[in-house]
Parts: sequence; structure tokens; C-alpha cells
Amino acid sequence: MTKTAPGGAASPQKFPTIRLLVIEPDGESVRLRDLIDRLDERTFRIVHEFPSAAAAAAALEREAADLVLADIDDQGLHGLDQLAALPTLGSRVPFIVIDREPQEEIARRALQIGAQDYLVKSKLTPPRMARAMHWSLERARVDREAKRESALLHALLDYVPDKIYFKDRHSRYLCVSKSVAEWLKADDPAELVGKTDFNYYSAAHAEATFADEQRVIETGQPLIGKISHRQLPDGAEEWSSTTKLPLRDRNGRIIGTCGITRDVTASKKLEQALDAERTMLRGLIDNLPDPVYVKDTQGRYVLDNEAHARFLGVTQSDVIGKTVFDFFEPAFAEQAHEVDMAVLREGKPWFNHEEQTSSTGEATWLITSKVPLRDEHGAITGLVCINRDITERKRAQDDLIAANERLEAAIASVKEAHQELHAVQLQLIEAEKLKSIGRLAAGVAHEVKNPLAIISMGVEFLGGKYAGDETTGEVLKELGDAVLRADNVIKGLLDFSAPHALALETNDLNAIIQAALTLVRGEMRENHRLEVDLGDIPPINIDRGKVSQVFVNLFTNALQAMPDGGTLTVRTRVEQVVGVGANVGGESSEVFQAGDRVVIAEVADTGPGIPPEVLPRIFEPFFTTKPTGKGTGLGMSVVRSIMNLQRATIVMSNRPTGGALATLTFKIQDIP
Amino acid sequence: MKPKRILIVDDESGFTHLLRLTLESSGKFLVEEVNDGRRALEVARYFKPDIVFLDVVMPEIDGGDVAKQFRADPEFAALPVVFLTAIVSPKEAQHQSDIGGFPFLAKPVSVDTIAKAVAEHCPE
Repeated sequence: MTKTAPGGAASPQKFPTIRLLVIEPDGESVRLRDLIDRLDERTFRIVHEFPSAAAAAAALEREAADLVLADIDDQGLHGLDQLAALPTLGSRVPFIVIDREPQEEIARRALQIGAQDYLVKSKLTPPRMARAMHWSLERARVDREAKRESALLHALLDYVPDKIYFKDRHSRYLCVSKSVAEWLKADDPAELVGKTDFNYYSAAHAEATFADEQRVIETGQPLIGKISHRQLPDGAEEWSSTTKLPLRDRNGRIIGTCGITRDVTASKKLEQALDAERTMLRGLIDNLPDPVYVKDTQGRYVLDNEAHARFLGVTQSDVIGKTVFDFFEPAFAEQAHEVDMAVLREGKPWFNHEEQTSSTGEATWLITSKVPLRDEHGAITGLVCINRDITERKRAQDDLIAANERLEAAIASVKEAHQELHAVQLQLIEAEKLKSIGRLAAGVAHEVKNPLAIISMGVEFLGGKYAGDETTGEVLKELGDAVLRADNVIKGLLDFSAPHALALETNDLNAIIQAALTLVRGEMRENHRLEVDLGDIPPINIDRGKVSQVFVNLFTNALQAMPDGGTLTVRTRVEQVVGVGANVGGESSEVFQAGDRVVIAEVADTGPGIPPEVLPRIFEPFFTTKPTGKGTGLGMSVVRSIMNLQRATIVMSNRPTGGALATLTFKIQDIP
Repeated sequence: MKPKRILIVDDESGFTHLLRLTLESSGKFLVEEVNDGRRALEVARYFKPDIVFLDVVMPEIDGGDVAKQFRADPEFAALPVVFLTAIVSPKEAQHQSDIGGFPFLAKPVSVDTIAKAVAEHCPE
């Protein structure tokens, strides 16, 4: 058989010899060999001759022939049974039964056991013999092929999970695959033959498939991959994909349909799950208030959400495929593109960067994060970007800062007002204090001075009376001195308490100092030197008389501190307060602020200076370092009272080079 | 030379007494003392002073009122009046020459001061 190729029989001369195996009982008058030998063509060659079927068994087993000619002589059915016992015969090697006389029953039986032909020996002629042999071989070949194709088709029909069915023009089943039978709970596919979908499915389903099939039949157009959905009685869902083709006969006439239905429920469910997930993600990103978008490796937008489109001022579909250069000014776009490229190149996320843009002309603050996107192999395929609009927050922050600045300014002005108030309060307290001290001093003066006047007068009277008596004179002198001392204390007390009424006027401090210097001329000795350095200072608002008293007191103290001579120095100048403290003294913070312009006056001597333990008490009333009778202990108190009342300060210190230094500071007010 | 007639009005009798003794011992002055301000005008009518020294702070009536009474009376309208006060500080005295238009002296006061004031206000 291996030597036989399809179509081979049509051109015998090209073919090698067809091997014949002959089974022929001995003693036959007409030998088959003789018939074969008389053939014109040399195609057929007898390769084996056996007297009985049993004898041919081994050679047949080897398939040592292409065709068997079996003469059953007159053995009839017995002879056929012997042939039928040979397994190879018919199935693998075609055979022709030859009988002595024609017998109807034998002929039928012969065909039943697979014989290709039934010939009667007496009527055989060589041409007829050749024709029968060719025909048998050809039919055997066709049979074999049909069987093979049938086997293939049945393998398909039996094992393919897809449902395959052939239907006639009336949609009746002609043939179905095993899977269809199983699906329809039939024991055998053959059960379905002749039935229709109306026997198995709901009317709606059956009508739909019927309509589909009739359309295929009418139009000749196949129905390909139709997806249909069915709700099964148990509630489960079934999705299937159906393809239906027209079935045609040899003449191309449509005789029915062939259908294949595949259960795509699993992939459909997967698809649905994917769809649902995609919809969910889509919904999620579209509902995010922050612009979100995805770019490919070229920086083109491949996905964006509504917030992003809104931010750009276009619709979502207008964004896809475009780049940042389509929406922003070149400078910003270039910068953004560079960042994108860096993220794509380096694969490192770029998180929470603040930036300012102006897509719609209005300045917008964004916090931007860009993260690389990777495929399942880890290769970078693009980037995801999320913007957060923080303009409102930024604005609120700015407002807060501005509000804070206003608040601070308000606090500063309140503080300033408070300081002024405090200073005024101190001034009022000082004035009030002095007023009560003044009243007290007036009372004391009246009560003490009258007796002093009497004593004084008495001493004077006695002095006249005992003018010649030296001892009495000395006693009276001491009495007189005591009266004078007591009187000085009262005078000092009155001076201290007196300055409660200020007469503030615009005055030239230098002129006041000059006048005060003339008043203390009497205190100056020959060995006292005077150094006066009065600078160019603006007029200031002070009480001329009281300030004069201040300088008289300071000059007096300075001169008294230098009984053996020395230098009294007086200087004035303008300064600007740089910080609160050192240059204007301890009390300055209450009175002066940085930036104030002040007049500084300094009174210095070259005396022994002020002992450190005395410095803190120097302004206390009745505190004095002078011998009893030399000072009232009120001079410096008066000085400070006067200074404080005018919102000016005085600081006493010792000069590094020796001697005491009084530093007086007056504020320069804007005089209209 | 005729001694000057001095009227001293002060509630401090010790003071007025000593002042009288001292001033009169010089022989240049004739002194009358009044310790109750309300009697000042009455005494002045018979004493006929050349000058009045008037204490400021007195009970019942103060020096200022007494001075007004003198000024109000035609007989004494031109009479020199000098205040004596215990409660004017020397510094105030530097800037003030009078109290209510009248000159003043601060207590305690010496005989010399009185004498100078008399010489100033009652020239020969």
C-alpha cells in the first residue's frame, strides 16, 4: 500500500506493478494466472499463489500483496467464512471474491464481509478482470480515506470540548459531538439525530438559534463568534461564542449548517472582572480631586482623569497623545519634560515637589509626584503623575502670614503705647509722690522753721548782749551753726519736693548749661579747671529752671568732690539710640527706643569717683557721703526727680580714667 | 534819726518777742507785735507803723488776707508790707520776688535781713 499514492490509479503506466495474491484451489480448469497473463497491460503481477485461505494467512499478515483474488470454488459460504477468518483481509488488503457460478446469497455475503467485488469465473475475460481489479483498488483507497476522515471527524466530535453540531436545512440535528450529547444529557449523540433545539432549549433560545441558522442558510454568510449569554436554571451565568457555517453538498448547494459553540464563561468572567476593575479604577481616578495622568516614555499623555483635563482647561480626550508642550509655556514645559525624562531614565520616583505654574493665566501652586511605571519584566514603560493643587492652602498661608504681621505690628504699637503709658504713669506717680512729699515738706518746714526762727533770733539777741564774753560767743556760734544746718535740711526738702509743676518749653540746653556754670562760679577755686565742649544740638522741650537746677547740683557735687582741684568737664552731643541699654543707662528701656534721636549731656570730674557700694543708692533721698552739715542728701534725688519728670534719664558712673561721670539723656521730640 | 516803726504780725509769740527785743536793742527800730492776725489792722491804727512784716501761715486768718485788709484800707494803702514765710524754698525764692505782689523773706530771718528790708522799703 505504501507504493500507492492518491490518484496513482489514473495513470497506471507510471506506477510500479500491482502485486496480486491469488487464493485458488488446485485442479481448476481455468486458472486466474492465465487470465492475468492474457492482460494487455503489465501492471498486475501475481506474487503469491495459495490453494487455500489458511495457507495465505502468513503472507497476508505481512501485507505482501496489494490485492487479493480469492477463488472460493464451490465451497460457498464455507469458503467465505474461511476468508472472513483472515483479519488482514478487507481491512488492510482489499479482496475480490471469485465464484464458479453466480449465487445471489454468496454475492451479498461476500460484500458483507468486505469484498470489493464478486466475480463469476466463467464470465471473466481479461479486460473485465483488469477493470474489476482497478475498480476494487480505487474503492478500497476511497474507503480507507473515508474511514480515516471519519475517524478524524469522530475523534473531533468525541473529544473536543467545544460543541459541534451539524444540522439540516430545517435545523434538525444530523450529527453532534459527544460534548453536545453530554450537555443535553443524552446517552448517545445518535439520540439527537432528527431532533431540534426546540426539544432541548427554551423557546426563546431555540428561536434565536433557529433564526441564526436560517439566516446562514439563506445568505450563505457564516456567523462568526457570536457571543450569547444565558442565565442557567441554577442561577449561574453562561457565556458562549458560536460560529455557524453553511454546509454544502458536492454541487455547492446549501444543505444545512455546521456549528461550533464554545463556552467562554470563564474568559468572559475574567473579562468582566477586568472590566469592572478598569471601570472602578477609571471611576476612582476620575473622581479624584487631584489631577492624575500617565505618560509614555516619550512624555505623551496616555491616560488622564477629569481633574487633570479640568486643570488644563480642555476635555479628557483632547489630552491623550499630546505632551506638556501643548499646554504650557515653553519654560515650564521644558522643565517638566526634563523631570519626566529623568524619572524615566533613572527609574526613581520624584516626590512632593512644589511648583508654580500658570496654565490658565492664574498662578497655581502644585505639589507634584512622578513615579515610573514598569511592565511585568520591570522595564519602564512610562510614568504616573499626581498633582495636588495647594493654591488655596498657599493663599491661606500667605493670608495667615500677613495677618500675623499685622498682629505683630498691632502688638508692637500696643507695646509702644503701653510703654508710653507706663512712662506717663511713672511720671504721674513721681509727680503725685512729689506732691505729697511737697505737702509734707511744707508742713515740716512751717513747724520747724518757726522754732528755728525763734532760736536763731534768740542766738542773735544773746550775741548782742554778750558781745564781749568769748565763751558765750563760742556757744552762741555753735548754736547758730546748728540752726543753719537744720534750716538747710528744710530748704533741701523743700527743693526736692518743689518741682512738681513743670514748665516745658523749647529750650537750648547749651544755654542752660552756660547759665548754670555762672551760678556755680562761687564754688570754684583757683585750681579748678573747666572744660566745656558743647556740641551742635537741636532745641529740646524741657523746663529751663528745673534743668538749670539739675546742672547746678551736678556741678556743685563735682566741684565738692575735687576740694584739692581738678577738671570739671561738660559735653553735649546728639546720638541715635542703637540698642536699648548701655549708652542710655538702665532706665532707658522705659523711655527710649532704638532709633530715637537723643541729646546726651555729660558732666565729669577728676575726683575720687563714686564708691561701688554707693552707686546703687546715689539717688536715694537723704543719702549723702558728705560730712554732716555739708549736704542735705537730697541733691541727687532732686536731680533724678526732675529728669524723670521730663522723661529724660540720668546715669551715674565712674570714668575708667578716674572721677565720676553723670550721663544725661534727653529725647529729641519732633517740634512742629 | 527817728527810729522806724515796725509792726510784726505772727502767731509765734516767741519769735515776735525775740525779734522785738533784738531790733529795739539796736535803738534804730520801734517794734509792735501782733500774734492774732485779726487784730493787725486795729493795732496798726494806733501804732502807725512804717512797715509791716506779715507771717503767711497763721490760724484764723492768713497773711494774705491781712495784707488785703491793709491794701483795702485807705489809711494803709501805701503801707509797705513784707511777708515772712517758712515754706518757700530758697530755689523758689530765686525765681520769685513776691507772693501775690508783696515782697517776702524766708524764715529763719536774721536781724540784718530785716534791717535791709526796712531800709529798702522805707527810705529816708
